[in-house]
Amino acid sequence: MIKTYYTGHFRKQQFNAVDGVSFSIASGETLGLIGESGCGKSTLGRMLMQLIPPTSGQVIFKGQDITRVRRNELKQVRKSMQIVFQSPQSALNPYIRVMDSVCEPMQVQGYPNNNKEHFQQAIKLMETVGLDPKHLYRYPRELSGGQIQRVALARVLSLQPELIIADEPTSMLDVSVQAHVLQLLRDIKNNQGIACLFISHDLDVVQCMSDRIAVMYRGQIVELGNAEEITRHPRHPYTQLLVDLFTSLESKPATINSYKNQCSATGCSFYPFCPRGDKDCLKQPDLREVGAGHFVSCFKI
Amino acid sequence: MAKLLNIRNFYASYPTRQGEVKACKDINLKIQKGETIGLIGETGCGKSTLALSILRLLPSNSIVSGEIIFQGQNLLQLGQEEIRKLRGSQIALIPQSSGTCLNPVLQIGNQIKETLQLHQKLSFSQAQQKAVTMLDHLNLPDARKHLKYYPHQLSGGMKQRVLAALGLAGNPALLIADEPTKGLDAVARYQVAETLRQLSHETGAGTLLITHDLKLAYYLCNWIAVMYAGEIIEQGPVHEVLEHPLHPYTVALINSLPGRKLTPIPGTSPDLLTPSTGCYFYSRCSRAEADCNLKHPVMQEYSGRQVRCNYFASSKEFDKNLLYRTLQETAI
Repeated sequence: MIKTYYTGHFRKQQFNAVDGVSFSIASGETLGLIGESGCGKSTLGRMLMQLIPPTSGQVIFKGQDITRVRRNELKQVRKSMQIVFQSPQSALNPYIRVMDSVCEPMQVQGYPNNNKEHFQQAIKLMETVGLDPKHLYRYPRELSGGQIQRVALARVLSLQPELIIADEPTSMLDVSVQAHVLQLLRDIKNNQGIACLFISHDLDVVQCMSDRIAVMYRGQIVELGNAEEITRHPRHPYTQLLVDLFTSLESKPATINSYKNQCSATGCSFYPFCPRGDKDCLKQPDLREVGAGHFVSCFKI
Repeated sequence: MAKLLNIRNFYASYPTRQGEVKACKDINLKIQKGETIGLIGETGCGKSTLALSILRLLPSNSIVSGEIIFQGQNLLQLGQEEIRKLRGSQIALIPQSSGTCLNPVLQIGNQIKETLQLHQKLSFSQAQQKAVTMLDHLNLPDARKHLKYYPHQLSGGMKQRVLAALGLAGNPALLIADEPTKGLDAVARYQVAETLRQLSHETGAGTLLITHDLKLAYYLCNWIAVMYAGEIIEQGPVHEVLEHPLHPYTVALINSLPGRKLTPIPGTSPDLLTPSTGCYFYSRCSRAEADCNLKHPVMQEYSGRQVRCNYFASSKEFDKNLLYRTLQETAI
């Protein structure tokens, strides 16, 4: 059983990019994380990997708090935790062949322990992600965006991780290629029972990939629950705005008029744009359970 | 409505060491005043080549033929100086990547003002006023303060709106928007969409919208053209094309949306260097028959729409049953 549990603050110039977030992912489960750009989604994803050290809080992975482990122990932890980045072009080294990129994690971790096996493993991985093994001898610039993203996936799978953090893996791809990559990711997750944190700002994509969805707004999780439940019956006004915007652009949501990028000093961060907001909202709301496994941070429900 | 842009039998290709890459083939497209035309299709199908050739911004070695008639003059035959006068003031482009298209060392206010002073011949203070009203209009909060910002201080959605402001600064008669919502979140996407819609309503400018976002196209466009391997394979009124697609590629594209079935299109897009003699979609098509690989389909007219598919060419009369069957297959 994998359990990732996180609480904490990330402070830089008195700005909380991620502000008191807690959630857990069960093994084999996919949690979708959605929110506007700049709301702290990627920061959160990177903090889970310890690529950015959190200011405070814990990440508990398989019973071990990985924010406190030593560097060489962290290397062991990262073996079973992998991340797929948003822009595959910049995630692969342009000067080395695809094969070296795919084999590198195996060499670093010494798993399996000789080069011949790495090569055989790389061929198997290429087949898993639906690429011709001859692509192993090419450079990233010779591949299309969809192919590079698959190579990135192959590299991630090379160490047989138990948790994948997918940070907007398809936002740079077009519709038909996006479908290829998403379906591949879904198949791999289901076949190998890998847990996944799927970060995106596209509600349609998150909905079709996730078991549960967390909605993030200005560094805080404002709603968390079953994917069906969130998209069918959103309770938080921000989630309702998101769902409205994705269902149809024709019906003008009421809140969009007042929607401007201002920051409120205290209280609910959505208060300046919220159609339901009143004096109560000047206090900070906490996540409350409003249904089975459905949490919302809003006073007005 | 008056005809604004008329593209007739347009071909464009790039000579390379391996041979000629035919990026656009036999393109016929019309844009009326106040109309928004959507252009959709996968990466590398020639959408951006078409957009750039309207502005005559293709690399100098590219080979173009055909006619692009804009307000009565053929853009392909204009001299460098004449076309330069049209760019920005008559035909404007909102480029794709907002991150790289703004000058990183200039304040955005100066970039907008420069465009205004050049194209509308405004004085400095008038341009300042105008820039503020434009950004206000684009829902950029606190516009006066934002004019002093550099591009790196703005979010992706804000930069996209600044680019939109730059595009609109010359009051163009034709606006070409190349994926204006790529990588934007829901709210910013809505704001850009709203801006484009207002523009075509208020100024009566024509818009060519290049996008992957079918929902956005559905909302904004009157007419939509689907491109595949350099050809327009289907065009028609947007609601008809997206709700009842005729060409198998359009059907497949709609089915690959995450909100639909998420069925990817099998295979990869064809090589534009050595196109086959038959239908380009043959190897990936679910409906393909043997002679599809031999006979290249021609554009067929069906009740105001155009489709390039042998499947429809085989029956001379528009077959209601056929349409009915197509509708059931797509099940939208």
